[in-house]
Parts: sequence; structure tokens; C-alpha cells
Amino acid sequence: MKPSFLLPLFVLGLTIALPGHAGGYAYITNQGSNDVSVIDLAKNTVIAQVPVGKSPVGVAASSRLGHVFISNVDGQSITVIDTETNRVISETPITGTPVGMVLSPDSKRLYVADWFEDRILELDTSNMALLRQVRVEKAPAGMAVSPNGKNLYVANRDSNDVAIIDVAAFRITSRIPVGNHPFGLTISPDGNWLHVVNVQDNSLTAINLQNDEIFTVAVGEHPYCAAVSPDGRTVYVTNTQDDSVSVIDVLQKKVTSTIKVGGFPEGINYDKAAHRIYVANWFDNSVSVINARNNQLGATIPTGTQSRAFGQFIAEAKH
Amino acid sequence: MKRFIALLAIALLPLAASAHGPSPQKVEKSVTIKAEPAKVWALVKDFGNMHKWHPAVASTKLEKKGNDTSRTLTLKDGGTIHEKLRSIDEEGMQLKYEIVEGALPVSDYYSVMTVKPGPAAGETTVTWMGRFYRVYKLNPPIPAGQDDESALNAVNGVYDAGLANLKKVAEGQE
Repeated sequence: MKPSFLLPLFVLGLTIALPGHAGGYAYITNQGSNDVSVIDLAKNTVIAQVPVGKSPVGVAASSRLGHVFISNVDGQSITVIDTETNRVISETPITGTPVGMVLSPDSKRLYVADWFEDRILELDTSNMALLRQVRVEKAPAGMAVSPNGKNLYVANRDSNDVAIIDVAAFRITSRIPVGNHPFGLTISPDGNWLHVVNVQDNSLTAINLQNDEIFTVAVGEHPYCAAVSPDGRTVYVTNTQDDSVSVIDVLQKKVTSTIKVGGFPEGINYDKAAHRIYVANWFDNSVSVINARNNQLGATIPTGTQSRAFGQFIAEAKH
Repeated sequence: MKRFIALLAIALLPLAASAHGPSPQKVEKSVTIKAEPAKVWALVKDFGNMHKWHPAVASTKLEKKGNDTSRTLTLKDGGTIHEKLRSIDEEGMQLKYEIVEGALPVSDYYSVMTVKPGPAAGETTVTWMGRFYRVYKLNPPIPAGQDDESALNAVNGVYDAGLANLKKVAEGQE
């Protein structure tokens, strides 16, 4: 072989390898096509469609483990995907209806909300064994864990409150009343603020976990999920029936911008590496990308059918 | 005791009905109509006159209370459907509404009708999308007629018949 052939191959190899390290990946659950779209965040293109169980909704991605956990609501199971190969490692049956999921900060534990049986399950991520369970209020949906791993927060959609679970004891220590039908929630990276989305009130409840200050901000129609910026100052809420995202300034306690996205936006995450916001659109079978620096809509990425991406769906690149 | 349990079960029913399952269903249908978008949009956005284009609707009664607009559809087979208007976007030619209650075997039904210029000049594409849940909101076993399939069949039927006749009406064939 002539040496001139080697150079292009070498360059090609580099261009394939580099973007992954730069930007990480998003794992979008597609309820209708029973699969997960893997988006390369550096290129904003889908690089794999991974078949999972029936009606995947929830997602919890761990770059530390190199695993992504997917809750299959109708399949009543949890699928584990290997992020190196984008292949399924295992599918574990769950007695119940898994929807919301969240990982402990060290990724050793996976917490799973059982929608119908009103329980939170604690699984060991090394073998997917059920360790403990605790009963909560009606229809547990979104969950978040404090950065120190001590507290687990659960939005109980049909009892209009947030349960605070002491992780060490695995029992509820208190409950905070919020608006009607809380679904998604997110915690600021410093652990100071919990943001809860009230579907039927068209509002966001922001709870200061340090001093118990609470304020409510009106958002768009039928809001579902929230994401927060790395500095904790800005919250982004998907308004499913307005096809938009509300941008909330936490210090000003008001909506500062509203961005049109795809049809029926649900799951939303903030990508720290590129300061972009990713939104899964259930009606449009796509993901909308927002530039967080100017709140402008950028790329629209076609995914599988009925994209939901409920949870932490971005796995940051390993450094 | 048995009677008490039966009463308790009845008392608990409304509670169960306030929740819905986690798996929404989707129907999306489109039709291309040989008529100008403005003409088709005028038919679609006329919330109080659905019987003018949907063949299953015998009459439409429009009601306004404060800022809320709703309609009651009386179907040709006798049933009724009470629907609430969510929004009309004139610029985007998009109508959004929801079912409050009615004859269809669905729950939490939300729908969007979008009118756009069609593939050729003088043509229009209408897309009708619905998101809803089955009637039975708990885990299996699911009673007959309250499952996902029943809900999907009903909405597919409504959309297919509606769009086919909307095309006929807009094209002046009826």
C-alpha cells in the first residue's frame, strides 16, 4: 500500500474519536418505537437506535459507570445500556410500573419510582438487585438526589406534594406541599434549590432547601419537566401544550424568556460542556436544541417515535 | 361486611379515576386537500361548526363562559362529546382542544389540528394529532373496551372519517 493512503485513514480515525470526548451523549427514550436514540452531542446527530423494552420512559445516565438505565413502563422492566458499545447489557423485570428514576451521586444506587404501587425501590447498580423499598404518596413521578447523597426528593403527582426521603434510613422524614399534579423536578447543582413542575397549575414551585423559602412562578400550559443551569440561576421548564420552554430567572423569580420548540416537549436536560439545552418532543419525534447563551432554538434532531426522555438523559464525556 | 366492601370500592372509584397511567397513546393523520389553506383553515378553526365537515357529528353547540370556550358535539349515533378549546393560533393555523367528557373510550384526550400549505400550489395539508390514555388507568387485567386498542381504534376512526370528509367539503364535492 502506498503511504498516501494511510494519511486519510488516520485523519478519519481522529475525527470519529474526538467529538465523543468533547461533548458526551444523550439517550432519548422513544415510547412508541420501544428504543433509545443515542445523540452525539458534539455533532447533534443520532449515532445509534438501541432496542429496549416496551414503552421506555425514564432514563438515568451514568458516565462514571458507562451505563444508562431505562425504565420500560409497559414492559415492567429496567434495561441497562453499555455506553461504549450502545448495546443492551441486561433487562431486569420489576414488580410494578417503573417510571421516574435517579442515580445516587456515586452511581452505586438506582432509585426507581413505581407509579401504581406508590413505592420507591432502591437497586444496586452493580447487579440490579433490589435492596430496599419505601412507600410514598400517590403516583410518584420525578425524583432528585441531593449532591451529598443524603436526601431523595420525590414528586407525588396525585397527592400534590414532594416527599423527602432520608437515604440512610430509607424512610420519609417530611413532605412539602406544592401545586396540583407535580411531575418533574430538579435540584440545583449546589443542592440549595429544588424546582418542582405543577402540571395542572401551569406553574413551577421553587423551594429553597436551606431556609424553606418557597416561591411560585407561572409558566406555560401543562408543564412537565425542568432543568437547571450549572450556576443554579436559571431554570428551564417544558410546556407540553404550548410547545415551548419557559426560562426562569431564580433571583428575579420570573419568566424572562419563552422559546418555541417541537410539539409536546417533555424531558429536558442542560449540557454543561456546550451550554445547550436538549428537549425531547413527544408529538414531533424529535429533540430540540437550545443555545443557553442566547435562548435561541438551534438544531432539531429526528429521533424515534414519541420521545419522552424523563430523567437525566445526558452522559457527560469522561475526562 | 361484603356490602361495606362494595360501598368502599365505589367510594374509591373517583380517586382512581383522577389518576392516569403512564403510557399515553398517539394518533397522527394527515390529508392533502386541493383547496387554498385559508379556505381549509376557516373550516377547521370554526370551533362551533364541526358538523359542517365531520360526518359523525350531527350538531355542534358552542358555549362561552368567561375566557373559556367549549362545544358539545351530538353524534349521529346519539352520543355526545364535550370539548374545551385550548387555543387558536391564526398565524400558525393551529387549533388545540381537549375532551372534557364524552362517548369516546379515552381519557385525558388532547388534540392539535394544523393547517399548512400543501405539496403543490393551491393545495393544503391538514394534520390531526391526538394524545390520550385508555379509560382503565390501573395495571392489568384491563376490562374489555377500556384498553389501549379500544382507545386507538376510536380515535383512528374519528380522524380518518373526519379528514376524508373535510377534504370533500373543502374541495366542494359535498
